[in-house]
Amino acid sequence: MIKYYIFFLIIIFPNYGFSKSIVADLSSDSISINTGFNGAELLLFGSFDGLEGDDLVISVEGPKADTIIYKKEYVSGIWINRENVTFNNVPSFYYTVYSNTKMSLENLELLKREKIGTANLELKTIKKLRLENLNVWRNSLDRRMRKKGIWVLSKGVGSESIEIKNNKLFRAPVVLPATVLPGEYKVSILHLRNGKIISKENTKISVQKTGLEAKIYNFAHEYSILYGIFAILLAICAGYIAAFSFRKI
Amino acid sequence: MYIYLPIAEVSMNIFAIVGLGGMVGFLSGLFGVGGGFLMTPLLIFLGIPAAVAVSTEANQIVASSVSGVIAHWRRKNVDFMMGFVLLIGGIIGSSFGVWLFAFLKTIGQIELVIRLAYVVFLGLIGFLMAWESTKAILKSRTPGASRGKLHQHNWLHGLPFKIRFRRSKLYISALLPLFIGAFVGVLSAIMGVGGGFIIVPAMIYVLGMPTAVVVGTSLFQIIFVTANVTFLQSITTQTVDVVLAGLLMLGGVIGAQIGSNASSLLRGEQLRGLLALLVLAVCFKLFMDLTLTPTDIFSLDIIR
Repeated sequence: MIKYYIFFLIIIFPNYGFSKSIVADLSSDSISINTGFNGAELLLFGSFDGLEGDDLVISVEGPKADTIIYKKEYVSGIWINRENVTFNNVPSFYYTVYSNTKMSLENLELLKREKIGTANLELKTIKKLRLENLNVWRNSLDRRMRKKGIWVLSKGVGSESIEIKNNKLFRAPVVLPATVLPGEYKVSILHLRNGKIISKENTKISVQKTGLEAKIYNFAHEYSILYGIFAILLAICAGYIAAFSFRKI
Repeated sequence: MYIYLPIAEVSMNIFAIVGLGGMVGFLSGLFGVGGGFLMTPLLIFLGIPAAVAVSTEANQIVASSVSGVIAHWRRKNVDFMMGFVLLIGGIIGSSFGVWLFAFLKTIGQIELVIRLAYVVFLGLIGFLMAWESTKAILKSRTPGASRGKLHQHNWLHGLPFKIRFRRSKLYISALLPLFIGAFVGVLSAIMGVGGGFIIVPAMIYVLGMPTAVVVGTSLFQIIFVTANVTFLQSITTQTVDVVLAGLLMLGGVIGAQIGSNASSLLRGEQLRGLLALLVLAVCFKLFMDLTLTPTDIFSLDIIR
């Protein structure tokens, strides 16, 4: 009941009380990885009450997974993975948008405190490393993730990053590549001014394997013995059919 | 048109996969080679994770070997006794190979070992095929060839546990085919190949089998070895992608039929030379990937 009441107030008095809040929504909040899946493009849109020079920061953080970084060394003529470092709970996808190309120092400090953006993630390693050594590995992680297109930072307004109208309305496309892991994607929108959060909104996208794709994946992992037998039988049938359908008369 | 492969977890153009299956199938129909040694590296180049490429290709080879062996069976060109001894070795070898594969995967060296194995064996067969086809082309210009003995005897024939192989007209130690089967089984698990390119020359030159029964017998044993690899990879690493395998089978079947029909129309030696060049090109690409200074010496692997 109270929910409807608040909703009613927002509609009737958009410039009172709630005017400082961001209101945001996604064009779709659930994505299905099915047979035809080749990435997805969503639209994050909403309103806020901004002034000239304010910053909007959007972040989309994917499910976490342990990630190993290997370092190659030149050993007797070939490049071989030698040392490696495992980072725990690394977001498998991280998309950040800054509405301004040059953000103020206070606002950047704030993002650091709020741990927003890949540079501000606190990542732990299994092995204990010296700080300067850790930084080398940490930077490599950043570089490889960006290279793979799964950690993305875009700055400034534009149709590719974020569009803002009259400091009131915003719309930002969120592109999930075809390699995304299933799980929950946390979306947060921050409205910053002079090193302070004016308002904040969180939402989420859920990415799931559905249909035949999900069934096959679960079959392979939960009933792997049956799956193996099924794969072999499939191959034997295919070979048998092939041999007889093309039999020369 | 894209299709999301459930185990490989990548999105691929469906025509690219069927086309690749068809192309490799065409070559295998044309030359009577299995094609696994070309398919697996090409799948890796397309962006399929190496582990999935190897396991899935083993699954596809089951299908192509079944369809191949039926034709040889009808002509009674399968030595079941020999095939049986080979496959016992093959099952031992491939089981060890799958274990080794899983171990190498955990220490992060599987990609390296797969690539190294390919560089060595593709280099070897590419070179041998190029050598043989040049020899054949030269020979076709100079008539007259000599006939040798059925096979030569050497120390290998003195080993114990002798068995009579009737179809092959051989009385040799069972240890020999057992060992060959085991060796090829290990390669089969690690490289995702049937291993025909090793087992066929080994049968002719080491065991001294008559060439007529060689292909049928090797196909017979490859079915069981690759089925074993498919099964063990399914339960240990879950890297067999049946959707990918099914699409490759579809392309492969059609390609192999066109290839085997075309083989009667085309000149053999020149084509064999071309295949040799193709094999050497793939080998060269893999070799350069290993030896050229990488743009970034760091690489990453996300663990699910």
